[in-house]
Amino acid sequence: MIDIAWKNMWTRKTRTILTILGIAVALELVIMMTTIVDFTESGMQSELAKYSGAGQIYVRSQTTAGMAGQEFPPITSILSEEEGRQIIDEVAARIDPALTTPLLFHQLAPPPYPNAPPEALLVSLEADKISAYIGEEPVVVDGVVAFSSADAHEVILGPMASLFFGEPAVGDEIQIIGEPLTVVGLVEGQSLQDRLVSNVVIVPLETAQGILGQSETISAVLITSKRLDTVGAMAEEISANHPRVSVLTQEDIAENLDTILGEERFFFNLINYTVYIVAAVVVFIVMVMAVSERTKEIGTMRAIGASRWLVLRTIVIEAIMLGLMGSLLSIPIAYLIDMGIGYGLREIISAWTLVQIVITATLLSALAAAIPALRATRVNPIEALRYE
Amino acid sequence: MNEIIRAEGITKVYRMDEVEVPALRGIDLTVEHGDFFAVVGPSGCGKSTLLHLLGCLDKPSDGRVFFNGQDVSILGDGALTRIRSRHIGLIFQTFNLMPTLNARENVALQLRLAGIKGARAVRMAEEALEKVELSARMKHLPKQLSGGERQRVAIARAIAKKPQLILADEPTGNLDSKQSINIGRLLANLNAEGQTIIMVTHDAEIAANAQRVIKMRDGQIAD
Repeated sequence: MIDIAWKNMWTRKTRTILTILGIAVALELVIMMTTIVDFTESGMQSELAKYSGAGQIYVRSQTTAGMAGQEFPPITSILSEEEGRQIIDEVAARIDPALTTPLLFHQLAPPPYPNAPPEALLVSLEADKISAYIGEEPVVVDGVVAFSSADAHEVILGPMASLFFGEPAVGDEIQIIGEPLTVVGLVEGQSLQDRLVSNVVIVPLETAQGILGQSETISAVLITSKRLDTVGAMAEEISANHPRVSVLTQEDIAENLDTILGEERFFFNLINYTVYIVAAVVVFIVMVMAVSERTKEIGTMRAIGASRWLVLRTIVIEAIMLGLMGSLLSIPIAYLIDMGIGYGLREIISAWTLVQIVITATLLSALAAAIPALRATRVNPIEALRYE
Repeated sequence: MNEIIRAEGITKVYRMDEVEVPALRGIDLTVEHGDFFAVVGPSGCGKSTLLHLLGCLDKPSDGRVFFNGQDVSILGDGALTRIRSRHIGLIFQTFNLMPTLNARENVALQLRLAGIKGARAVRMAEEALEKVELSARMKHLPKQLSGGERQRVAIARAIAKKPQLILADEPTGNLDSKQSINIGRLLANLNAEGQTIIMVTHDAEIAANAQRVIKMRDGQIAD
């Protein structure tokens, strides 16, 4: 019956092409969304891997009970610089001072989508401790990863932040909250999706405190322990001595990232499910129309000996073919759109994701055709004998 | 026993809202192999309803229909569909060809439904089309054929599987007089070769091709 289904589709070319295009455009969105989730997930995995064994803890202000540690990086946290430095002094003997620094965060541009990191995040730290935050081996695209002085009006940009500021070159000036800063370096994470480095606007701590008018406040303290096995005890000690602060260990950070990822996955999956439903509704409507238009043909088939099962199969096969062709067409469309917007998703899209989307769309199309197909099986063959 | 189909006291009552409309009122009829019956009568006299019951397309409200000695009035949809696909050929007034299939595919579809597939179905479809003199139009879609040609494709579809019984419902109702005469002759020739045919018609000239004319009035056989 595949040939009959194919000829039915071929005879109604315009409707078939429009239906396939509708499905393809909807599924193209699913490909993009799924790839973004995969992309983010793999970025977070690489972040988690980075924290694993790094022996780092973040000390931040206490948040609402039970909410401690739900935010990373701790952008909304506020600590006095004095308390931050006191904490560092208390554990000085057990930390790596070159990788320990007060931090001040400020969101310069909002996240592009819910639960994503801000598009541009001001990260200020002691001028000679940049690697404490972005890692010891960042990919330097241009310039240097260093500031000339503790209060230099200089800035280092990550790739997403660079885009936000109009892709300045090293030596160019950019404005941050009305203050001109010179770009001295452009950096990238070790992998494309490195979430921690992508949006950074790194500025010396003193400079940032001046720009933001927060001369005696910081957001958090980043402490790097000399030994991994003392991190837990150190975190407990800080918590005990400073009840108003919250301590984020690498396990907490991993948990936070996982929570964020879960929320992000939920958000994108919600879009994906909606898109799948839209595609299924398109197939449903088309098949309802097809069955109503072909009542006489279906009646004739029943009259000359087609079983109800065969009629059902013919309709479902037609829907499956629409779903299959639409989902296959969505792949080149997704690639073309990606080439147009330059996200580079086509380089990281997984073949398994595409296979899953094609299978899901095809099965959903079959399911969407079930009601019209069942309706078709109830067509009375006597209808075929009625005079027009 | 030479009978193909026998109706015993069949009645058919349609319910329209709360009103019961009797279409057939106790019909007795026996059709034997090789018969060619024409059923004639005014509109609404029940001739098409009779054809539906004899063709296993519908069930009587009362009475019984036997096909090859089997009571088909008690069979389910699946069994009736199997009888129609294998043993009965149907010809409709409006031809009822699949618009997306060409002449040969339309005939082959009926063969596939009868369980004959592949090259054998194609060969038998071509033979049936040759019989109705449409060899040259096998690859034409219904819309590319004249009314007479379409009806000949429909006849080829009905005869291709070599059914025991052909039921024709106003087969010339949509044709001009010349084409009607040709179709009438074609049916008469098929009957001459042994094909059993029951034909409902308004056209006395076409009915004259039949061996026996059954006149119906008010749901009953009048003559």
